[in-house]
Amino acid sequence: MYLAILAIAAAAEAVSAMLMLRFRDMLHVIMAFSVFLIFNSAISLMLQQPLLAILQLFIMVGGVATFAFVGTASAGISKFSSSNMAAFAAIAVIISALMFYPFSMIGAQSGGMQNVFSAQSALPYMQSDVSMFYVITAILFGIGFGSIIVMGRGARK
Amino acid sequence: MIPFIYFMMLAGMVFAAGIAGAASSRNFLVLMLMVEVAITASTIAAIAIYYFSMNFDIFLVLIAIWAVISAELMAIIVFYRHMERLGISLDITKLSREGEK
Repeated sequence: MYLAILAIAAAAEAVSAMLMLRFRDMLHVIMAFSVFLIFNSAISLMLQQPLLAILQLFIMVGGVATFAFVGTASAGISKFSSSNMAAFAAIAVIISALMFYPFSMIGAQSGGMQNVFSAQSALPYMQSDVSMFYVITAILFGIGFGSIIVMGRGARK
Repeated sequence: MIPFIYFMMLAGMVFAAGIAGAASSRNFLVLMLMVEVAITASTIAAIAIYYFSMNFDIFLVLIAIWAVISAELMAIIVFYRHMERLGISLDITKLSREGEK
């Protein structure tokens, strides 16, 4: 049951990502992106994180809505050239193969019967650097606001 | 129970789709949205790691991820407005040609 839901969510995410490249106007691109985010939140729900699912949806859709308002207000819902789908498919397959190859090798070495890439192995690395996340967060927000101020001054000149 | 590796593979697939989309996109806005798709993969991976370990504070990781997304979104809006004011085309192919001039 859960596996079927995960498969549907994965398929929907892949299709919506492809549609984002296929559509030629900003409104439909944003709609496809919203569908992508909704299924992303569904995956969070599957992992028993309802609060994170809704928070993620609010933050991402809120940000995308702001982006859409700015985009449409300054340029209109214009038609633009659609993306190269053949290049998209080729690059996606190559990157996926490169990413999945290490997983398949790890599974083969242990007989492929269990999840040898356990979350536990990632924990020591993440726990030791928790304070760094605060620093990263502060720096990134600083860069964001700083870029707005600097670019705003540049545009006025 | 769904194996952990399935979620990691999903995150990998989403990341690959985002990067491939950014590489093949011909529009600046779509390119930036595909970068968002790639970043979203990190959220899937973080929540999956939390679910399967239940041993560390997921909120710190997610705040860091959302900070990246927020900063990128702000940068997108700023660059977009700047390009609009300068009258620069958002078509990637035309942008490349302007670089050759």
